[in-house]
Amino acid sequence: MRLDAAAWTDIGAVRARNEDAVLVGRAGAVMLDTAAAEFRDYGMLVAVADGMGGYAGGDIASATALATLHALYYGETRTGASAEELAAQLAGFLVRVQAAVAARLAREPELAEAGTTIAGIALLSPDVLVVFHAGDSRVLRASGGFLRALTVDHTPVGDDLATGRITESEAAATGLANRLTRALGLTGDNRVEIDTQWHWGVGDTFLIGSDGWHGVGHGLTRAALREVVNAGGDAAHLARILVARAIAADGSDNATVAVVRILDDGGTP
Amino acid sequence: MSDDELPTFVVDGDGDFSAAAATMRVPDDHTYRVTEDDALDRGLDLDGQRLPLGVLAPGTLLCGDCTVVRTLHAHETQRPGLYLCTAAEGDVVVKVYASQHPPRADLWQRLPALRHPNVLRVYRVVELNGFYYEIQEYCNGGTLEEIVPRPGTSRLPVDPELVDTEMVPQLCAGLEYMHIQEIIHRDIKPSNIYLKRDGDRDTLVLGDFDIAAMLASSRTSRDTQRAAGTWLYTAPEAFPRFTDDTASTRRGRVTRSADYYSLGITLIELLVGTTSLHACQLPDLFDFYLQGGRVEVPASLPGHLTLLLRGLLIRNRATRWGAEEVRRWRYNENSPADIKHIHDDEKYQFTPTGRPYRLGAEVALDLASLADAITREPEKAAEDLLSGDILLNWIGTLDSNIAREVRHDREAYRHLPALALFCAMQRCDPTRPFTLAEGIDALDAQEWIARAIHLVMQRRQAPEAFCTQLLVQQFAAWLRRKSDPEPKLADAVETIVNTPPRARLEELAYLLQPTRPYPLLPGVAARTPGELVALTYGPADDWRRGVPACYQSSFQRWQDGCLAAWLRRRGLPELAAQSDATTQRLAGDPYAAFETVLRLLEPKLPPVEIGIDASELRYTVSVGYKKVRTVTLPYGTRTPGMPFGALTADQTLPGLTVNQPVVRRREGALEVTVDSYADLPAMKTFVTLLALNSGYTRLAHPPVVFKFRVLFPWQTTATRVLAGAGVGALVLMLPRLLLHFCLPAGGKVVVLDPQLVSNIWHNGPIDRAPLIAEMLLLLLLLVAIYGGLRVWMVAFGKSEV
Repeated sequence: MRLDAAAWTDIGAVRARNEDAVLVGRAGAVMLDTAAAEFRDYGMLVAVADGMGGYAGGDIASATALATLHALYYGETRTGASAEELAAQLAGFLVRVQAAVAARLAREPELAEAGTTIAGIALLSPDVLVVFHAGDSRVLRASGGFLRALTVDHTPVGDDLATGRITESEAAATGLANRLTRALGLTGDNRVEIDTQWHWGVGDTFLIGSDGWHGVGHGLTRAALREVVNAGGDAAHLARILVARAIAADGSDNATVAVVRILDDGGTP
Repeated sequence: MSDDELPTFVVDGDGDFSAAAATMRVPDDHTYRVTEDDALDRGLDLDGQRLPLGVLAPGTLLCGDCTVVRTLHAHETQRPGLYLCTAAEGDVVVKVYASQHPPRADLWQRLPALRHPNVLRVYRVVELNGFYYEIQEYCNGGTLEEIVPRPGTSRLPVDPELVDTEMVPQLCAGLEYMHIQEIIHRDIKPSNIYLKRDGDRDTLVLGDFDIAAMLASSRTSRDTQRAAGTWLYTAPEAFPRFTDDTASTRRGRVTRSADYYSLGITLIELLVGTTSLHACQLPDLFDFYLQGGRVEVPASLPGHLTLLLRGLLIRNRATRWGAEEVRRWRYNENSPADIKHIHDDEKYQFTPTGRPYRLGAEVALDLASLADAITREPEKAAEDLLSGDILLNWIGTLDSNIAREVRHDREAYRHLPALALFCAMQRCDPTRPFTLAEGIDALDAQEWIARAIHLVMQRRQAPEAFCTQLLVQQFAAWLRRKSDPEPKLADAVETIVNTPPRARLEELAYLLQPTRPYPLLPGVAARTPGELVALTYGPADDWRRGVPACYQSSFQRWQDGCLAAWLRRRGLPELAAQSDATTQRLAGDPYAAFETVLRLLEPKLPPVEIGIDASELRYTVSVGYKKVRTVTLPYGTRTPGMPFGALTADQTLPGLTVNQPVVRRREGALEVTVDSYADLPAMKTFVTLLALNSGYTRLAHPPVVFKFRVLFPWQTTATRVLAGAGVGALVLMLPRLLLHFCLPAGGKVVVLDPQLVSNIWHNGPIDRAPLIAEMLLLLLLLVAIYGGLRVWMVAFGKSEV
């Protein structure tokens, strides 16, 4: 199998700076063969972090989070690890990520309110998938023509939205959809939720993005996302198109998405 | 025509047309015969519908040849008409379908083909001017409704012995026949069971297929128009389970099991006149079952009949008694499982849910109704199941175990949404039968394969078009998830997903029926590999007219993968694997591969023999020098089978080539080419043997002797030698001639003077004779040298210098 991974980010039409950060594999966009030594030993890590807090704090928080995570993740091999082992390892990494973010933000008093969401996936052979997130950055998976979220937003209305008790517009109307109940930073609940119930295989496409790309009241709707993904294209193309459409549809926030497509040896999904 | 002018018809108690209103135009003879044209003359109503026929006067012609005797029921837009008539078949009842409820074409056209003593005979069906007619047999005994001992009537209960020994066998025989024809009656009740009296013999006949349907899950609006009284006989699963905002009702799943439930209610009515349901109003009937109600069997009935009724009235359609159980009951041979199903029915409950789940236009109240809703709104169901957790969470509120299983299936089959949905449906209702295409249901694996094969044959559909990978996957999933799961069989079925498409259905048949013979042609099937080989070849005489049909069919089926499928399921997987390997190895020569496979099945199979017509080789083949000659050798196959082999020469000779040496057909021609450009020595005879090199094909005679010789080119050689020698002699004599002709006496060189040459030639001084002799000797010498050299070259096949 092969993993086609790429990402794209855009500052949007309103914001002064891009506080999103993205991590794709060991060295950026890649077409990685699962038989290659790199994948065998490390798997693949893809993550997005959406900073918040104004001033320069958001982008510092998001960049620190992903840089730390990258260093930790690719600093150790994990050949043949199970989902539980990988999840445990990631849990340990994310605690240290939180500590690094907090330490960095603590250095400057004006960054006290800053923080960052984080959402990502780690893949290992044969089909081990660990999904992690804190905040309202999302992980979605497209399979068989259907698109579903693998994460539930950590907001006061996230559960209601995921269970269908309220719609997206109703959630937006509450004004609570953008209030995070979890995020990395100096204050608040910084626990990262880790999920091992999912799997990956040929035909899957993972989308990891900030809420500016696809969120309650922001970015692309689920239906629009599905339409773009089902139209096909390589990961780089999809990432650009998705961000471009999100900015065109909304543009009020930074928009970032990382795309991972799982292909067979012939290069078809 | 104003309202005052509209004709009115007066019908007496016997349904006879006896008078007309004054406004009607009555012919002079005071009879009024309404023809169909008259009906048509009434035209269409304001909605564009045909006006009903209503009551028809005696003498009215229907369908062109049925004469009305009396009107049994007037034809209306909402109700069919029944008219007693005389026709070529004798006394008949002509049924005219309600204008707004035309019959289902696929069922209606099949009615005349139904022939069973306990099923109402339909002689023919006619569509005429927008009306649909059935010409039915006339049952002179009325219906069972007339003998039901209803409260308030003076009728006596029907004798239980009569019910036991006569009625049940006849009714079940009729039901079983209809079910085999894949027709559910859906309206079994006393008024739809007719009586034919023939002397002392009474025959019960099932009739009135008003809402009878093929085993289809689709429903039409007509279904909602069921008469209220009919609900009393309706099986619980057929009650509407859910409502939409307009309060319209939709039927639940109805299978042939529903007919047996209705039969049970009917029998109780015949025996005691009423049931515990009769006191209920319609809405209460639904609640009755939802709250766990069961129709009680009266305690006063004999034990044997009581057992039957308890089995027929099992609420769970999957375990309700049907044809097999009733058959066993007749001979007091019910199995422990039959009895257990009755006892288990006490625990069976329809479970309503607190919060309904809306799926498109459907609303589900429990898991079983959710399964039904999924079949009606598959796209919406797929969206809800695969795009989020809404549906899954609702399932979890009813049963967390089932939710967990649905979640697992959803994840495992996320790339096959149709299969994921099917698995979810089956998890929600494990009692669901398997719905094959077009709503034909199967309750177990054997029924599945029987119905599948019947469906394919009936529709003349290509097996591969029917038995898709998805269907096989669903079948395996169903086997795993039904209420009595068969995981081992499911595993075996899953291995057939990747069988070649044309062999898929057949391999399933072999899996489920391992002793099933291997068909070659209609009516020709093999039970063993040896028999297969024998049938494939057939009698030797058949091969005189070409390749026999049996062989061609066997070959095609082998190519389709059916043979390997049969071998696998007969417990011969090694042979199947060898067959597959041979197929791949000899992919370029399918007949050779097939013959090889046949010999794997029957090692004693004799080789295929071909004979070469070597009449052209009786004499040595002569080939001109520097020429190419091709000899054609026709061949024919003398024994059954398709030959395969290569004709080869036992010696490698220059210039000798066997063109296209491979024998692949039963008849053909081989060509042997001799190319003497290849420096073959002339005048030498070469001999080689031509033999067939093959695994299973051989010559029917000894190897063919092929003798050939290159002819010596005398003429060419003589011409060349003379010409060459002449030129050579002249060249060599030229200086001498010049000396003689150009130097006259005195030694002075004179340029050739023709006069001088002539004088010298005629008068001397040169003596001509020695000169000529000299030239001739020189010429001879050159001829000898050059000629000898050339002969040697040709004779020994050397290249020219």
